[in-house]
Amino acid sequence: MRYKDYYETLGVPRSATGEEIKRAYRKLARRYHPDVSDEANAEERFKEVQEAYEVLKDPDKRSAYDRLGSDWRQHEDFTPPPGWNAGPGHGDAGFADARDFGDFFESIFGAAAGERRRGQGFRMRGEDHSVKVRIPLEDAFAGNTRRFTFSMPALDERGEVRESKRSIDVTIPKGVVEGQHIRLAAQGGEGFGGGPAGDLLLEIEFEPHPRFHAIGRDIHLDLPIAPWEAALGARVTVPTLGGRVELNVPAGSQSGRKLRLQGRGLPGKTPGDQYVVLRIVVPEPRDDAQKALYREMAEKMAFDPRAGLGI
Amino acid sequence: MAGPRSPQRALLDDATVLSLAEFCRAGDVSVEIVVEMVEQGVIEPQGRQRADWRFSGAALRQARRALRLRRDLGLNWPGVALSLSLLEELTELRRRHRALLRRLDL
Repeated sequence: MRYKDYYETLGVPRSATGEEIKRAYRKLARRYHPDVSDEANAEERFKEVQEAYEVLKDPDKRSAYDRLGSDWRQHEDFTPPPGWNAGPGHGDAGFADARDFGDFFESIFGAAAGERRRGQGFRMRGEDHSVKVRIPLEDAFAGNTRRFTFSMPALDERGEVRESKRSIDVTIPKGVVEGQHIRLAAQGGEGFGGGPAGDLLLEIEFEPHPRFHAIGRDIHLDLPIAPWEAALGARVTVPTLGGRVELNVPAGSQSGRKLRLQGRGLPGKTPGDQYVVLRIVVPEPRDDAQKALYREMAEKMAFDPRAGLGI
Repeated sequence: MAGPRSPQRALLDDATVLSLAEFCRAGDVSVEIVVEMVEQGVIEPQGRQRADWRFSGAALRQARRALRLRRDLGLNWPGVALSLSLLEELTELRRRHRALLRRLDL
């Protein structure tokens, strides 16, 4: 079992006052709260911060913890001496929430505190679990059934928190948009003391697509065109999620011009549109004849692209 | 309970509609707290009278998030309401930002 340095977790010296500890806790709790933080391991860090504060905020628990010794060497495995479990905590542990503080905490404050936390005497709904899942744009457009596999924390027979792999087949509805959630009732954390299980929420994210990118329901596509297509206009074939479509490039177009294909985005009550952004690509001359063509164009068109720059 | 073989019925959160009683049950929360949350603007049901109140799945998520913020960070209701609306905006901005960075190959 690893020794946990609670002072280091909160970023306070061992001589910190109760006020300093409280302030440090509040700052870190705000930063790492899973509903607030963008970081991947926020929940884990938040629990660590909570555990550290639970011990250091209470003078009795803090002194019991301090008795482990300040000359403790890091990375050394900690074996509690026999009879160690008879520390404070068997009486009023003051645990209002069912948090999982793990082996180290229990070795100091007793298994009784752990049992009490795990549902003897109070009833609570299980935690919601939220997971980001990535799907290809094609699935969002047409709907699909996919198997998702992820690691979830779960309680084993001893009531310990373990990572377990779960696989779920989910039917993705047509027209789902990034940021939307799919709710799988009662598939989340187990309830405590007979309480109901929490839900599993899948937050939809789109895999990066080589050609399209989605903003809400609208699809955006960069379309390469030749200089003569831009200048003279052209009828071109353009990919959409629903198949190929013909598009008129207006004569006199410039790079960056946006053309709208109505209703060609992601489906919905109001279907999204597809926006095609023109990108003029200049072909490199491969031989003298082609170079001559360009020079002729330069002479005959007498065009100064930098006229407006004032140089 | 459906095993991994049979596809889960995927309920789009926005499509869920809950009455006040269903909302309390689903959120494991009392009527008083739900009324408080509505008064504070944390969640907004459709319908004018309580009997006509209808909540979306998104409202359920907001309510749970609100309760967690109150419990874990000790926020009062106005603080919760402000935090939630800022977090929603922040999440959307972060998503668009990531998409734009990808698009610009950064």
